[in-house]
Amino acid sequence: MISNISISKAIGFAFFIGLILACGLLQVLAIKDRFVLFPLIVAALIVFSWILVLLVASKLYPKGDRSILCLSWLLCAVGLIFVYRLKPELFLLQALWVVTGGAAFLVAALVSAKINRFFRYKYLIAILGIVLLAVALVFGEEINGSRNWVIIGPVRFEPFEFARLLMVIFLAAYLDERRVLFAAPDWKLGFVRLPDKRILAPLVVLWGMAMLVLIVQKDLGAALLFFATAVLLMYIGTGRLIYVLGGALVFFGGSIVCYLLYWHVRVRVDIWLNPWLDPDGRAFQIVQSLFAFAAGGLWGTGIGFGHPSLIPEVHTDFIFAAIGEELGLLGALAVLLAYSLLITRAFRIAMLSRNNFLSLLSAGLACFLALQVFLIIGGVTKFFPLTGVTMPFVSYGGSSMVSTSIILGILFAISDGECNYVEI
Amino acid sequence: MLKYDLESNYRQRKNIYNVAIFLLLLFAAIAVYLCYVQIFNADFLNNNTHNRRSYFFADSIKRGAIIDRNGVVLAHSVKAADGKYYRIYDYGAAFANITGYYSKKYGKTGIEAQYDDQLSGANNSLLVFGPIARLWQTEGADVVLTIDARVQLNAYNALGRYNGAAVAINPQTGEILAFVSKPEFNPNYLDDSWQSLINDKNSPLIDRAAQGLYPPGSTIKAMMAAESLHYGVIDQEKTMDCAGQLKIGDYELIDDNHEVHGKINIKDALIDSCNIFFGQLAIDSGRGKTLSYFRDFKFGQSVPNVLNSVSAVIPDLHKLGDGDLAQTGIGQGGLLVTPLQMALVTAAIANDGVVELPYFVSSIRVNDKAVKTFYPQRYFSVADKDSMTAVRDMMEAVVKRGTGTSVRIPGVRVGGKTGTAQNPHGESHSWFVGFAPVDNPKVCVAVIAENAGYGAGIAASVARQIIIDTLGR
Repeated sequence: MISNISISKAIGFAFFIGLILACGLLQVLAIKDRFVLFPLIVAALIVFSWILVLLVASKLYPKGDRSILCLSWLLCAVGLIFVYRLKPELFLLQALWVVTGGAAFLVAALVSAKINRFFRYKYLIAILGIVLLAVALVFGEEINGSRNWVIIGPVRFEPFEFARLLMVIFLAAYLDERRVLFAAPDWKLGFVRLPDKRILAPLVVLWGMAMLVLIVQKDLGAALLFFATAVLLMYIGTGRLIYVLGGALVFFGGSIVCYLLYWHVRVRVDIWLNPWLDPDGRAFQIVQSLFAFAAGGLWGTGIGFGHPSLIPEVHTDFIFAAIGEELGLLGALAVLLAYSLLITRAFRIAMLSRNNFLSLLSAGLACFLALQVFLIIGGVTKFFPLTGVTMPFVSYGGSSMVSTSIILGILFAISDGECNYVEI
Repeated sequence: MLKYDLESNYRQRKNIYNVAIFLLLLFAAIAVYLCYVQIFNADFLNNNTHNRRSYFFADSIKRGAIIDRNGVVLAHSVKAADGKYYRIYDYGAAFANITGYYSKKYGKTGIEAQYDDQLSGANNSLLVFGPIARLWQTEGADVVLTIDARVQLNAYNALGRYNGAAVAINPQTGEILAFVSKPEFNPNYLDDSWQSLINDKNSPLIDRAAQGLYPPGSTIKAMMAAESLHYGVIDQEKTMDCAGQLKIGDYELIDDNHEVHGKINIKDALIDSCNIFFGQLAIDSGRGKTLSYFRDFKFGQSVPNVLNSVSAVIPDLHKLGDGDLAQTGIGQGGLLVTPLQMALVTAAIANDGVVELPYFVSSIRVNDKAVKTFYPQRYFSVADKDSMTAVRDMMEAVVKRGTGTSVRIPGVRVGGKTGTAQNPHGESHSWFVGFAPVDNPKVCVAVIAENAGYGAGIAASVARQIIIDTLGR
C-alpha cells in the first residue's frame, strides 16, 4: 500500500480535482444554456483553500497521511457539482461549508497535537457529549420527521453529529483503560462468559442512550450508527465477538420493540420490506430513488439530463440517487470506491499506531465513517431500511461537513505518529 | 507495562483488520446490489407505471411520425412554446383505430403502443454510448405503414353515418391497405373527451375492424363452399332441391322472401345465396367437418401481427342440435367473426388458399432512411387451389348476376359475396366481402355496416369504393 502522497503530488491532485469540479459546473451551466463566471471563481477559491490547508497541515505534521485529504476533496467536488445541479441557490453556502470544513480540519489536527490529553479528560468529554445530546433532545426541532436539529438564529446544526464524535473519543479512552478487565472473563450467564458487571454497566448505559435516541429523536440511523460504532469498538478493544453478537442481539430486540410500539419506526421498516404497497404515498421517496438508479443504468444520463428532482430532499440524504442517475453505475461505484479508499486509509492509520488509545480512537472514527456511508447508501438503494444520515462530504449540509472534517483532522494528526509517543 | 502494551497492540491490530475487512465486505455487498438495481432490475423499474420518467423523456425528444405507404403523414410531433413536444394526428379520427392514441394520462394504444420503442427513440442505438449520446440530439424513428391514406379516407367517408368497419388487404403480401372503424374518436382531444368516450354505449374506443364480433351472415357461404369442395362433401355438379324451406326437427330454415330455388348446384346456390342449400350442406358435412372448416381458417385464434385482435367465436357444435348446425352453415346462430377475419377468408380464396400474415408496418425510418424493413410472412394455407379457383369463379358470378351486382366496376373483374347478419337488437347488419381483379387479385375487402338493413347496399358501395381506389381507377 502507498505509504503517503508527496506534497507536490497532492497539490497536483488538488488541481486535477479542481478541473473535474470546473467541468461539472460548466456542464450544469451548459444545460441551462447560460454562462456565469461566479461558480468557477468559487471553485478556484476552493482549490486554493485546499492547497492552503494541505500546506499548513503538512507543516504541522510532515508525515501525516495526505491521501485522506485528497479523497475528501474528490468527494467534496462531487458534492459541490450535484448541489449546484440540484439546488443552485445552496451552492455558495455549500462552498462555504467546504472551506469551513478545511478550517475545522486544521483546528482538529492542531488540537490533536496533545491528543493524549483527551485520555485524561475522558469523563469530561463524555459529559459534554451527553449535554450535547440533551440539547438536541430538549431544544431539537423536527425536520423531516427527525428531532435532531438545533436552530440558533440562521444557523441550524445537528448536535448529534458532534456528540457521536465525543462518545467515540470517550469510549476509546475508557476501553483502553479497562482493557484487562474487559478481556478477563469472570462470570457466567449460561454458556456465555461475561466480564464484571461493573464494567458491563457502561455498555448497557450506551445501549440505553441509543434506544433513547431512537425513541425520542425518531432517528433509527443515528441510534444505529451510535450503537454499532460502540459495539465494533468494544470488539476491537477486547477481541471478543460476544460484544458484536450480543450487541446485535440487544439492538435487534430493542428495534423490534420499537417497531411494535412506534408508528414511525414501523413505517420505515414496512416501506423497506415492500415499497410497492404504497409507491405513491409513504414509499414515494425510496421508490423514486430506485427509479433514479434504474434510469441511470451503466453510463448514467449525463449531468443535467436526468430527473433526480423527482425525489424529495434529493440534495441532502438522497444525493447518491442523483449521482446514480446522472453518472450511472460507473459514477456511483466510483464514489463508493472513493469512500472505500478513505476508510481503508483510516483503518491503516489505526493499525500503524503503536499507541493503544490512539489506535482504538482512529479505528473508532474509521468505523463511524464506514457505518455512516453504509447506512445512507444502503438506505437510498433499499439495501437496508432508510435512516436519516447524511453522506459525508457529498450531501448538502454544514454539520456533517464540519464533523467529518474534524474526524479527518484527528486521523491526520494520529497518522503523523508524533503524538503516538507522548507520555501520558 | 510496555511489554503488555505491545502485545495488546498486536492483538488489537488483528481485531482492527477483521473489522476493516467486515466493513469493506459490506461495501462490496452494496456494490453488487447497485449493479442489480441499475442493470438487472432496471427494466422492471424503468417500465413501472409509477415511474414518470418516460414522459419526461418523451417531452424532451421529438417523437417519430406515423406515415402512410405514400408518405402522407398521419401523426407527428411539434415543439410548442413551452419547449415540450405535442402529438398531432393530421387526419383527426380517420386513422385513430390504427395509430391509436398517445396520452400521458391514459397511456398508449395501437401503433403508438406497439412501436413505442422506435417512435420514442428509447431504443436508439446511440443510447448505448450513455451521456456521450447527448452530443447528438436524437429523435424518434418514423414508422411507415402499409396503409394507403387515400383508400382509408374514401372508405371512411363512404361508410358515412353508419357504424361498422372496412378492411382491405393485399392478398399476395398481407399488407393492410385500409382499416376503418366507426364510430371513431379523435385522438387529438383524447384527454378532454375521455369521460364521454368511455361512457359512450357505442364504444368508440373499440377497434371494430379487429375487435368487433358480428355474425358473418351469408358471407360465410363462400368459405363453406371452398371447404366442402376441398373435403369432398360436395362437387360442383351435384344439385340439391330447394323448396324454400328446410325442416330440421322442430326448427324450420327458410330462405329470404320464401324464395324457392328448385334444383340448384353449389354455384347457383352461392349466386342466389340460398339458405336451404348451405344449411343442408352444413348438415351433410357433419359437426366434425364443419368445425374443421373454421379451424382451418384459424377462426379460433387472434391474428398474431395485429395488436388486440380478437378471435372468432365458434359455437360448440357438438352440444348443439341440427338446427343450430344448419344455422352455422349460413353464418347465423352462435358464430361470430371480426371484419379482419372475413378479410382473411377472402384473401385465402383470392390467393389459392395461401394466406399471408396481415401487417401494418412496412418499415422503420430514421432521417428518411429505412433502418428496418418488414416483409410478407406466410400465415397459413387452407383448402386447395382447385377449390379456391372454383369459388373465385362463383364469386365473380355473384357480382356479375347475383346479389352483388351493385359492386360491378366496368373493366374490372370483381368477385364478392353479400351478407345480411340478423341482429336481435335492431336492423340487420349489411356485409360485403370481395376481391379484384379475379385473375390476379390485388385487393380483398371485408366491409360491415351496422344496422344498414337487408341487401349489400352500403357495405357493397364502400367495398366498391375501396376496390376502385386501390386499383387506381
